[in-house]
Amino acid sequence: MMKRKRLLAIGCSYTSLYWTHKHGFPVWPQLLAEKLDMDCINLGANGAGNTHISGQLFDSIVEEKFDFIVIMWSEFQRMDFQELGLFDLQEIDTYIPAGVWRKIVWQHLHPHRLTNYETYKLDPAAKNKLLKYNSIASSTLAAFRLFWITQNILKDIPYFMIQGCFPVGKPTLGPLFEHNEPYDYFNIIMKECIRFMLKSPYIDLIESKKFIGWPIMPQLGGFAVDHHLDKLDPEREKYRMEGSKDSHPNAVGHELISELIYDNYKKVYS
Amino acid sequence: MSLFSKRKKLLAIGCSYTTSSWTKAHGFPVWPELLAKKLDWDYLNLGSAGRGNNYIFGKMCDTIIEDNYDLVVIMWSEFQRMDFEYLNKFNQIKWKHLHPHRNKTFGEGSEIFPIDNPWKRNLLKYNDIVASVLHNVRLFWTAQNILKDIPHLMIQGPKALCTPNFKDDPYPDDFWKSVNEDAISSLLKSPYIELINSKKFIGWPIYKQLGGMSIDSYFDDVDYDRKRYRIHHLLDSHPNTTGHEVISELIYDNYRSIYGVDDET
Repeated sequence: MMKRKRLLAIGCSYTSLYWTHKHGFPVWPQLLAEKLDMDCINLGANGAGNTHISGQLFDSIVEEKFDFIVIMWSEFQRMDFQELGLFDLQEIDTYIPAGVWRKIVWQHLHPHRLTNYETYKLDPAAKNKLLKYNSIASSTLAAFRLFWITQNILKDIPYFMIQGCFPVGKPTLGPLFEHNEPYDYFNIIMKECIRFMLKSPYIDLIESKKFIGWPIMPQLGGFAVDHHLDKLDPEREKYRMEGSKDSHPNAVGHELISELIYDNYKKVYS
Repeated sequence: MSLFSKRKKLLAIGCSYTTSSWTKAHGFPVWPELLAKKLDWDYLNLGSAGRGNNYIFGKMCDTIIEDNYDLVVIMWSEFQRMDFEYLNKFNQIKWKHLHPHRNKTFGEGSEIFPIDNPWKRNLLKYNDIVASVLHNVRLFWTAQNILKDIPHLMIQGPKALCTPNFKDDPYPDDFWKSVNEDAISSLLKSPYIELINSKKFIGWPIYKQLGGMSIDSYFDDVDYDRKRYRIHHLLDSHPNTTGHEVISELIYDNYRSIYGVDDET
C-alpha cells in the first residue's frame, strides 16, 4: 500500500493549531494538506520567532522525510532559545504516578513588546537596551541571511516560504520608548526595514518562485500574508479574528492563505 | 591579498584566537597567515576579537557568496556570545557583540550599550547552557551544509562554555565542573551530534570526555602550566607565537590528510 505524502508546515501563531483547539476552525496547513491530499504535520507555535522556526525545521528534516514543506516566517525581532523544561507527569495522564519529566522546549522573548508570555521577565528598560542590539537593521539582515540558508538546506526538498505577519512590529514599550507617536513610528520602522532589506547581499539570491511574495514588502513589489489580507480586506472585517485588535487570520482568512499557497504549488510543482 | 591574484585562497574566520590583531600588537603571525604560508596560498583573515559564533557563521556566509575560496577554516568561539549587525557612521554594516556571561564584554566594538548585571543574568536564563549548546551544534551542521561544495575544516578554539563572570556575585569555584557537565549533557541531546563530519571538524565532538577537543583543551593537555603556548599563563590564555605555530600545523596536517597534497602549489 502506498504511504500518503506528508506536508510539514512550520511558523508562528499564523500557522499554529491553537486556533483549531480554541475556536474550532482548521488553519491553513490542514486546509492545504486536504487540497494536496497529504497528511499534515503542523509545527506552528504561538510567539515563535524565526530562530525557533528554522531550528525546529532543521531538527525535523534531519529526523524524518517530508514531501513538501511550507515555512511561514514570523516577526524579525523575536528571539528564541531552547531550554530543558520540567513537566508534571500527571498533567499528561492522571494514571501515571506523580513525578516530573524533562523535555527540550522553546522559550520566546519579544524585546519589542511590553509583554509577551515570557517565562523570565525583562523590564522595559532592559528590553529597550536589548533592542539597540537586536535592532531593525540587525534583525532584517539576519532574517534575509536565514532565508538564504534555509533555501540552501532545503535544496533537495519541495518547499515554499512566505512571510506571515508584518516583518517588524510596532514597539509597545510604553513611556520608556523613545518614539511616542505609534503610527509614525510604525512607518519609520517599516522604512528602516526596507532600507536594510535593500542592503542585504541576499536580496537577489532568494529564489522568488519558491518564496511567495518575495521580497515581502509592497514597496519592493512583494507582500506578506498581512499585506495580502489587508489588500483584500482593508477594514479587517472579513479575514481577521478581531479587526486590528487581534489581527490573526480567522477561518476565512486561513482558507484564503491555503488557496494562495495551493495556487503557487500548482504553478511551481505540478 | 590582491584582487587579481590567481593564487589559491584561504578564508579563515573566528574570534580572538584567529584575529590578526596579535600581529599588530605583538608582532607575531597568527595561524591563518602561518597556514597560508604552508599552503603557499593567499589568505583572508576575518577573525575578530570578542566575536561569537553568529558573527563567525554570518560573516562566513556573506563572504562566500561574494567570492570563491579554495579552503575555508572556521575556528568557533564561546557559545554564549551574542552578535548583532549595525550601520556605522560611514554607512558600513559592522558587527557588535554582547557577552551576557561576563561582567564586561571584551573586544573591539563591544557593549556599545552597557547593560547591568541583573539584566544580563535574566538574559542568561534564556541564553543558558542548554540553549547555547543546542543552537551552536545546529549552527555547525548548518555551516557544514552551506560549505558542502567548498573544502573546509572547522575546529573549536576557546572552551565552548565558561563560568559566568559577575564581580558582584562570584560563582563557587566548582561551578566550572557543573558548566562542563551541563554542556556535555546538552551536547548529547542534540540531534546533530552524529551528523557532524568528524573528519572535517577537527576535535569533534569538542569535549575531552566525549573523545574530542578544542584548541584550549589540546593546549592544556600538552602545556599543563600554560607557560609554552599562551600569551601569559595566568593573565591571558590566548595562543602566543608558538601556540599559533602549533595550531597552524594541526590544521595543515588535517588538511593534507583529508584533501591531499596540492600538486599545483
